[in-house]
Amino acid sequence: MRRLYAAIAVVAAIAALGACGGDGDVGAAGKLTWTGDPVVEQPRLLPRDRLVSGRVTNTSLRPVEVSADDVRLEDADGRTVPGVAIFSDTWAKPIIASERRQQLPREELQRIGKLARIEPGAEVPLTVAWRGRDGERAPVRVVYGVGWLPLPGGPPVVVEE
Amino acid sequence: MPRLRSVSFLAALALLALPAGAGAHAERTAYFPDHRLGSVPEIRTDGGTARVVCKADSAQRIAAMPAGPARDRSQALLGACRYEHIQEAVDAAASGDRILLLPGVYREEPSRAAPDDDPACKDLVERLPGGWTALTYEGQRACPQAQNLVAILGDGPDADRRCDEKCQLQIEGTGRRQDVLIEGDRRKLNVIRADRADGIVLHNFTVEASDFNNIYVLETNGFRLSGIETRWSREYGVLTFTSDNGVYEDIEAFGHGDSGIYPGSGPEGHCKRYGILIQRVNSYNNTLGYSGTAGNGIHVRDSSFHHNVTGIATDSLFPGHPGMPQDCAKWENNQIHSNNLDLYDREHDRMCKKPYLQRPLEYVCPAILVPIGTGLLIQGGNGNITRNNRIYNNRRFGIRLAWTPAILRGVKDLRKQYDTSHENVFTGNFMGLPPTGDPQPNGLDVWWDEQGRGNCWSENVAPPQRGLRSSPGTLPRCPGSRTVRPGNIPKALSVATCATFDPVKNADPPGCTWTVPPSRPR
Repeated sequence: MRRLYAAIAVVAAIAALGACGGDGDVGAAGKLTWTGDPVVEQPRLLPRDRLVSGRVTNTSLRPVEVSADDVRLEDADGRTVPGVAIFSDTWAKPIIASERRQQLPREELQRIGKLARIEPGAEVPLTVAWRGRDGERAPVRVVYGVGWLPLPGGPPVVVEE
Repeated sequence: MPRLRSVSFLAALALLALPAGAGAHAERTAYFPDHRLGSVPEIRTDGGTARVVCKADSAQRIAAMPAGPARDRSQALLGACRYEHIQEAVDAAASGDRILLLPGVYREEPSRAAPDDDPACKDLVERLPGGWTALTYEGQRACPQAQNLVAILGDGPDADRRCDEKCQLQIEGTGRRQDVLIEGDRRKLNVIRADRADGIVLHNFTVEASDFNNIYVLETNGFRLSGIETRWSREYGVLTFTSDNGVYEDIEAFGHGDSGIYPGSGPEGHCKRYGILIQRVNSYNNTLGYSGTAGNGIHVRDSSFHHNVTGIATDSLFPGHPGMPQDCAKWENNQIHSNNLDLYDREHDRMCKKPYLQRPLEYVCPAILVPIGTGLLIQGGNGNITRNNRIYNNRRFGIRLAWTPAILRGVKDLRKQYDTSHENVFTGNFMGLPPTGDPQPNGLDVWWDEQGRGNCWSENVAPPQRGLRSSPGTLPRCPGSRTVRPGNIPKALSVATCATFDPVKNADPPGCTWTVPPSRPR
């Protein structure tokens, strides 16, 4: 009986660490999910632009570390859609002027949302944005290296300034 | 405290590993002087030893000046000239001396030749949180020209952080303002640095071409910056930091990649005392006419901030700035208008990708992204008074007021996340109304993220046919709400990707409207 329980525990542990579920993890290094529904916005002044902003939680047992520069947007065919990502839900400004920034320290990258290290169970804000172009399909997912998040569809909230 | 934010946001804060901050542009940790031990210096016509500095062509320049007191005075001083470079005179000076600059161009060649990475001070650095290092004050003393063309270092080799040996110095041009030019080399960070130089007076000259600050005043108790033209710094014209008992007056500031003037980490008077007075400043054609991170205790009056990208900004956005969160600036009787300068167009995108030294000196490249078309921006601040100003023809916002979570400046204390923006009062301003002529409306007169306690608008005047236009449509009258309003989340979200701005890699961030020049309002 003890061996059976041990086997069950091993299987459960593997299941917890492994890539299960509809969010499409491709590896065992971490798993992020949206916490609640992200907001989809369209600035009135930029009718082709879309922002998706929400909070993501690390539901795995390992830390997830992601650089915003490594986050990609993909359409339904797996093609990259040009866009930007930032682990922030408001405006943050780097302490060093833009053109002086060869390599910011890690802590500064985290402060301004260019880098996120998310401990198991923790959550961080995430905002992605893209500019729609003719002939290009809208992105349907955010790929963050070791996994991906679905992007919500539906009409955006038009935001006046 | 808004429930949505409190549950998810604060939970995130508990687990995010964000450190306390680094100094701005890797500056050493700085401290406020005790304002009770200092005072604002006056411009003197006598006292101390007069040390006259001139150039080889000063005589010809004086002869070419129009007849008048400035020429007469300069002529009379020619025979007393003993120094070729300003730094020489500073080195020779004792407290109370006056350094008189005859007409000429001062390039400070010996300072230019001094190495930036002098081995004599390589170990005289402070290791700051976040991985930065900065020269200590002792490092500045050991290598005064590593970062500065002219360095006035007032504190002796003791631990008191107070001026001992070059106090109450006055450096002034003897001609007209344009007759004395102190010219940076675009490589040294600062043209003039006054560091613990209590009582410093800088008066009547033109300064240009620093890599960082044309004039930099740090930890100085008592200063007067008067009658100065500052232009074409890569970042700041005049920057003061953790300094008190100061005056900026009759300053013309233009062509700077960051701010024309920057009173940062200002005096901590908490609305009972305004330790720095700024008056009769004309600041234009900069990214920001005025900027002040932790710009506390500043009284700005009778000045004009116009034709910048954003006219005035104050904020609580960065670590490493003593005096956070920002509080108690007072802007009265100023003109804040026509701040619609577009430095983010395709031409600037192309030119500003070039290395700095390959660009013409006069070409302004924005060091930061701020919203085109904004008059006054408070991004995390408390207790600011905006009164009796003319705020017009700013095509995006006349006034923009928003919250800044403390985590952005590295403060993890959950109780402090909503320590801004409260008690900001806007009264008696003329919105969309220039002093004369027809109305020149702002895009929106007021944009507010609807967050905070005690923010209020009363007795502001707008053109009758248009009225005051704001978002939200109704603004609280003074004294404002006694409870903390939660804020409008979509409004805050809408500017998040502006933080991804990079003039080389991402000059036009998707989702960020700030680089879109607003159209003329009707």
